Amino acid sequence: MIKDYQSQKTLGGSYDFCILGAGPAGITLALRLAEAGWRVLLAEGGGREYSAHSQALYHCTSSGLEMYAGETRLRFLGGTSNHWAGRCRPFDASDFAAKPPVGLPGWPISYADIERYLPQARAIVDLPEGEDFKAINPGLDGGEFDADRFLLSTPTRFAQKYAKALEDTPGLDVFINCNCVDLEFDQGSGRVTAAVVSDYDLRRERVQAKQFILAMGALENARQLLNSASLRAAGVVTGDGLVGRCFMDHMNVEMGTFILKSGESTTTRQYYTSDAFVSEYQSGKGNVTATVLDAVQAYGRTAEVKRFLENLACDTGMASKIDFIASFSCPGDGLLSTLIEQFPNRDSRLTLHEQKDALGVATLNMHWALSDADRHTIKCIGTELAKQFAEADLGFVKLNPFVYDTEQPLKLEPHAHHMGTTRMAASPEHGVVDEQCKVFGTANLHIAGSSIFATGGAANPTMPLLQFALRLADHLNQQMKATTA
Amino acid sequence: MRNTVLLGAGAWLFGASVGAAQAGEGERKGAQGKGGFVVVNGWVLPSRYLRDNQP
Repeated sequence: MIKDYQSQKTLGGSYDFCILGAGPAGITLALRLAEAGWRVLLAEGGGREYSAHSQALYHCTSSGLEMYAGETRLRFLGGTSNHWAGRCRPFDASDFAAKPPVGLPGWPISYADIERYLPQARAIVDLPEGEDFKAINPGLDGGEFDADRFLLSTPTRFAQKYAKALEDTPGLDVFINCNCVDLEFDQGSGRVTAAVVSDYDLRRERVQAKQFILAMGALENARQLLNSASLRAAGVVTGDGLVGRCFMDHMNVEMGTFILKSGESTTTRQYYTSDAFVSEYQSGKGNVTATVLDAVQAYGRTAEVKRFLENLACDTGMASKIDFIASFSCPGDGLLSTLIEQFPNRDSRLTLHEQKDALGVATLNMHWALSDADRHTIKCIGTELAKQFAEADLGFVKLNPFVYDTEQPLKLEPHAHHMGTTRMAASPEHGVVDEQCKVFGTANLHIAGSSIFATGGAANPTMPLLQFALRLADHLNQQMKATTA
Repeated sequence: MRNTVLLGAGAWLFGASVGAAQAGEGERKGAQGKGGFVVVNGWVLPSRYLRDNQP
């Protein structure tokens, strides 16, 4: 049943599971665990719809690259799935096999550990059953750029799709306007003893449960850990630890423009770095999308582009040809956009301000930062794609200078794929959660969502994070059964 | 040629800083087979287009 905590203070006495955050991960976990027979609380800070007073609690200052923390997330039932675009591409085995070249380990588990949850995750996001992830164009010859393969979700809006299940599933209590403001940790037992929740009038209450799961998104998951005085006092969260660090997003770099050879199709093309490319250049992965401009689609290419191709093909002297190209400023036929992997980087991080928000939780600062390794990835993908594009006789690419000159300031946009702030690792030296998504140093605090990603690959994170949520639900169900027995 | 940097076998860069010459670091694979690439004003072009006896 869905209740409004602002007006209905009817939380149960104690739950088996307390799940904080009702986005894709939280809803998936809550339904699975309740269907398994457990008593579950799903607490969502926002209401049923968008509201300014809830969204204001996502205010976050920025001291690094701008990643629009206040706008890219949505704080109400269904979470950020409420404006999800729906692109689904699964992780590859190589995402789990490769060690990032940056002094931090990659995943401590293998792809097989989550691969078996792919069919269920696909069903959750309404991908057509039995349909393989599709390429919309061939790859480029040379073995460096495959065709990207993906499917589009409708996209699934979790609050709408699961409205009836959230209302009707026995054992499940869903409370909206129920904001987590603290986690109480007992150092002696190593257990979280309560989550403190608050309505918008600052009326607080302690929620007790056997297991607690943070599923509030990559920024809020870390924020709750950093905000908890008892977790800090117990040394579970430390100033030099990894909570809040290694924030990653996928990079949409303004790579450049392109001109197609005459007769080439003007439909969009999407390329994806091959494993051989990543190995050869010790780079991250990436998608490059070549989109022909609407005006070119509608009216054909400009006279300037025709002149460019004619000039290139003609037998004029080299010096005059170079002069012509050097002064050629036409935008070309289309644009190259990207979805490029960022490597984990300790300096890309969240920190708390002294200042509190309206509910008394410390406010956030985001310092989104790239490393030299990320600039290397961008440069390799840009220059090699441009070469392969020409070698395939598709046309020519004009790269923006900051792609190949790493001294120049980069122009990029985030993809709002927030990852890594509570990364998974084999030991607390390298991460925040263990292989079962349990926070190191605690017995009953788990984390769901893309904050646990050790590396982000170049796959859209929503479907993979559901695979992890399904895996966590299985694990917790089995663990609780064993404990109860 | 003015403002030109030699990148390696068959690969030239024009109209950019020397630092940008490392744009050719990916020469190891595909570019080698067909004589390298030239970057002019950001355009990445097979160098054969910019020889006096072009194909």
